[in-house]
Amino acid sequence: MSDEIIPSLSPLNHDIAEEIASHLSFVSLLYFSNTCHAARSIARKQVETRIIAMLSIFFPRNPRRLHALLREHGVVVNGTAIIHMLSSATSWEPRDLNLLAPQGHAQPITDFLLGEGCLDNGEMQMEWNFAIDASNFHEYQMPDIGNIDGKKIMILESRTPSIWPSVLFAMSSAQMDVVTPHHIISLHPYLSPNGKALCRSWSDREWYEMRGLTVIKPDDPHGPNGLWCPMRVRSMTGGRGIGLYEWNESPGASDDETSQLVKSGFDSTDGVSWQIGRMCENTSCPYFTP
Amino acid sequence: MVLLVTSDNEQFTTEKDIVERSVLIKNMLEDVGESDQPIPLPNVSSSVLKKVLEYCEHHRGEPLPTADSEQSQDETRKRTTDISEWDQKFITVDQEMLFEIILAANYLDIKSLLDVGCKTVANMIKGKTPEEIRKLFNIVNDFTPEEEAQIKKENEWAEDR
Repeated sequence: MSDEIIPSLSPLNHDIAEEIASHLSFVSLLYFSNTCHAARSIARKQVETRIIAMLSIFFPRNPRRLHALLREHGVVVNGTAIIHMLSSATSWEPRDLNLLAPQGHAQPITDFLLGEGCLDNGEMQMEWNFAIDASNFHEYQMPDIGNIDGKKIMILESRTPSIWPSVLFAMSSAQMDVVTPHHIISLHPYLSPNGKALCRSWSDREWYEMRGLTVIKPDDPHGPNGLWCPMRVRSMTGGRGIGLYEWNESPGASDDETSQLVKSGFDSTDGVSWQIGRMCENTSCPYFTP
Repeated sequence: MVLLVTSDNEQFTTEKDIVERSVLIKNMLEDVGESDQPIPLPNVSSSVLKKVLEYCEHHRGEPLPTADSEQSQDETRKRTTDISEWDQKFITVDQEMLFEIILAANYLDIKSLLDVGCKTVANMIKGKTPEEIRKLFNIVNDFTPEEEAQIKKENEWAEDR
């Protein structure tokens, strides 16, 4: 296979193609990766590079080793760190790295962090906006706070051998986007450079299945946090924008603190502002909007 | 003054502080010391070098990135496809010239120019489907029909519904 991805015009070599890919948004990277095998391989490497760069914000000492451990134990990242990684021209920095481990797999990560000198801030109170089907919420911090601006690594352990129940039942948008050591899985179909994406409503479940994901069926189909309830969707209009779910307890509110964070993070080059996309269509749901 | 010789044997005389934006040439000049010897650039044609020197002259005097600052700015640099107005005008060339400039910037080790070129290509890719990207850059589709079908399915999902 040739590594010249642009064969007929002064071939750009593989290194330059990688350099170009480093400037692509995740959406463009997805489309670029679907042009040929070489582009696919470049995109795969680029995704991994960006994931490691994201880990290094919180754990600058040895992000590659942490990445390898996450892969080994099936641990995923979720939370606002993902929004930061997916966005372009960010003007803010995430403060927490949320790791979600399958049942029984949090310990090796905590052992590693402690071995690397992280301080254990102890078991934390579960906050309302964290996934409901998880336990053992621990917080770790590098001792040299001056260097890393007090950034924290939080580890949550699923009550099941899978992390998906926790992700799918999550109560806030950021917890519903997931980065595995080699994939980015988003509730929003636009963010799926690896070809995987979770759906935004239960009616879309066939898309999960078609794409090889196990769909977790919530016990209460009318609950506010099941997939029946699409909650409120913020999305960029104009085609291939980036959107994500937002949670707000006040159904009438049009904006919240998180949305400001998101606005500052996402580059709205088409001049379209963030907007509420869709309200819950289920008449039994407390968040139903007539 | 520094004398440069291009692949098509054209000679360019330019000032040292202009041409030293190229790390390759800067290192060469440091190695040879004070000398009137021409510097051969076998991978750069005269039309491309003319453009490169135009870029270097415009950005003359601007601080060159150090290894440390380059590393710390790396993420920020790569997260944006913003290009300054002058650079944008400068890089508005046909596609063949654009690629030649990128290759020259890479060879001459002019990081900022390489960035401008790569960001321009990234902007060209933005918003295009795989087929449109292939057409734009003459990329040969080497996927099997099975892989193609899978990708089509993936793209269906990513399309606006």
